Amino acid sequence: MGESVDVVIIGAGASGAAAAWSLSDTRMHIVCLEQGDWPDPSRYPSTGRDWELRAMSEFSFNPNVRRNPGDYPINEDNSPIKIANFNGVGGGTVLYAGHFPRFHPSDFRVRSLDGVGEDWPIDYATLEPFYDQNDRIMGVSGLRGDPANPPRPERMRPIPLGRAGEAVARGFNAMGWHWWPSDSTVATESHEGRAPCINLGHCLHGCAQGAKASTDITYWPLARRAGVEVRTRCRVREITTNDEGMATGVVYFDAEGVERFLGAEVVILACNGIGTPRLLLNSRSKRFPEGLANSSGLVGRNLMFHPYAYIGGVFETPLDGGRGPSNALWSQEFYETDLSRGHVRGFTYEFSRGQGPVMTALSGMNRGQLPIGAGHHEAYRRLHQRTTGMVAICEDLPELHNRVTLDPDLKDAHGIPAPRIDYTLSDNSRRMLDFAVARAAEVLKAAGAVEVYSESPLAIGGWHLMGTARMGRDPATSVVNEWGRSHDVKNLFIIDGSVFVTSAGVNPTSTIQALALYVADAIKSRLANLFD
Amino acid sequence: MDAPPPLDPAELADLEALAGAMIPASEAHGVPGADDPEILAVIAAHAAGAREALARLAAGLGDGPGTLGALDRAELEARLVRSGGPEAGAVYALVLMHYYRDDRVMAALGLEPRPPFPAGHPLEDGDAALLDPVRARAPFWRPA
Repeated sequence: MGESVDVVIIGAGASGAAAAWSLSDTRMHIVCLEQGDWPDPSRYPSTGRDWELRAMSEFSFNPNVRRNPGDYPINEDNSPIKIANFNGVGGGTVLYAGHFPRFHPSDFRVRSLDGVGEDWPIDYATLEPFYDQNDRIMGVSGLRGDPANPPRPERMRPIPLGRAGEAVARGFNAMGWHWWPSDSTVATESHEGRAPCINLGHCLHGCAQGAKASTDITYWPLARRAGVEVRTRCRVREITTNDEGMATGVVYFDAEGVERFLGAEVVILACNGIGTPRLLLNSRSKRFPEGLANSSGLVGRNLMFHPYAYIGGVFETPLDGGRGPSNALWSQEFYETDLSRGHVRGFTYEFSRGQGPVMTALSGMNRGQLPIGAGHHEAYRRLHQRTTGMVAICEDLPELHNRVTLDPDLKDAHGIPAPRIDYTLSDNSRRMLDFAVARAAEVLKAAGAVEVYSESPLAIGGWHLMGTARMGRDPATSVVNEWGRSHDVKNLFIIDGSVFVTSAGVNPTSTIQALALYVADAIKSRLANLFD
Repeated sequence: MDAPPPLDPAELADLEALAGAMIPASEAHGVPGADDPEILAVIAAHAAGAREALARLAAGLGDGPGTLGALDRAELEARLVRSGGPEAGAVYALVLMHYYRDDRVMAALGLEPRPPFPAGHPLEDGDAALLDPVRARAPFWRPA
């Protein structure tokens, strides 16, 4: 028998870090296995002259483009929305924008209120203390008093609007529609050793300043100080089980590629909505022939993204270009269900500030706004620092046919079967996207845009991976129970976006982390009879 | 992995002609063209991913490898516009990616030729009074 620990956490991203920190006060022996490496902020693109180029290659959101040693390939040919992730300590928080909205109370009762999807087995009030706890650790800027949301705790001052944010805010005001300074994990003041934002404008490709909260610089230093061990470049191949149907540990490849076994009393999955079902499906055994924790047949099913639309405008006055974080404001005017709009559920608009010189050129080319030849320079100057806009982040509803399976041919560097995505956009999502594009165009025109353009759905926008091991009370219709424990394997927990029952119309990270803290708290409060 | 071999003289000549036609120098805007030797060298050094597109584009527009430079600039531009297609797009993207990070081009656009970090950028706070009408709204989130 090899090495054994009390708890193994698989994945060092948003949820794994939060759970590790919370569980560290039990003094249990906790090891986190992470297939990627520690990020090195001194190598983030914004530290070099080629920052816009490196953002499109080694710091691309898409693992099939990025192809870092910690990445695994994903067959996404049968999906109009491509996967975005980051494999390394910090996970998706290294490359996220730092948007930190919470679910609304109504998001937990979708079936009861709107007759679609399913209700969650927990409610907003249950998660609220964990949202608050998470806000304190991650550090959130914003402004209290948003009429679209329940009250929030104290925040750092909001991110500056800048010229572009001002223009968009004027547009919303002209329409009489809601907008509010966004909740963001970009620190606007010094926070727990993190320096404040200096407007590098490159939040999406790693924050060299350390102003944006990624868990490598928030939770992990605290958890490691409390004794949690992180082993990087360790890729888990499968979760092993015994005759009693309990998890016994994991088989993984270490940094040198040597296959090892790590025994564990508790296994916690924190690999995101693609990686988690992949690992469960790869953990087939005689007792679990359809994959681990899959008696419901729902592992990998109900995959939800947030279908995104981008809506931009060209203005006649100089705006911000690529300076500053994007997440300065949001609008939830169309968040709650109103069937007169032609769709059920809703969406959030999130401001998207502008672009640097290279991305301005490439975007202009793709939209046909940037001719070659003599007219090129005039056309470029019409776009340079004169574009801004927003994205609409639309609620996706769970559908069984949207799913993650194992690709029969594609494998990662260790020979482990890779995931395959099959996803189609629903009619409801299409109608919501169309509505969102039309209303955003009205905002931008009211703000003074002389030209408006859009991309819908945004193909690169598979940032949010949810629903593939859903939470619920009934083992026939869910994979984990209402506190994250597998119905089938009583010492196996899932804490990432896989457990989402529905997706809401907001970025999921704050909810993923609140859930991770909630599940960790449930584990701690049940230690004496955790496996009953 | 071995570095891809550099462009051969014919490929380089075609790339120079295409770059110059796509983004010509402009006295009015104070910028060099994309066929400026310094810029072209950078483009050429990063051309591996667009090499096939360059070859197909040059074959479609010219009379053999390395012949695009013999065409009149206006004629080449006209042929490029007519050709459209993914090859022209791939080469244009390659040219744009490196042209717009040249020091002289950035300076002409009013940008400091430096990385964003560590100096960062200033950003205006904006007019906080814009929020007044929104503050006046009653809460409208749906209790559940």
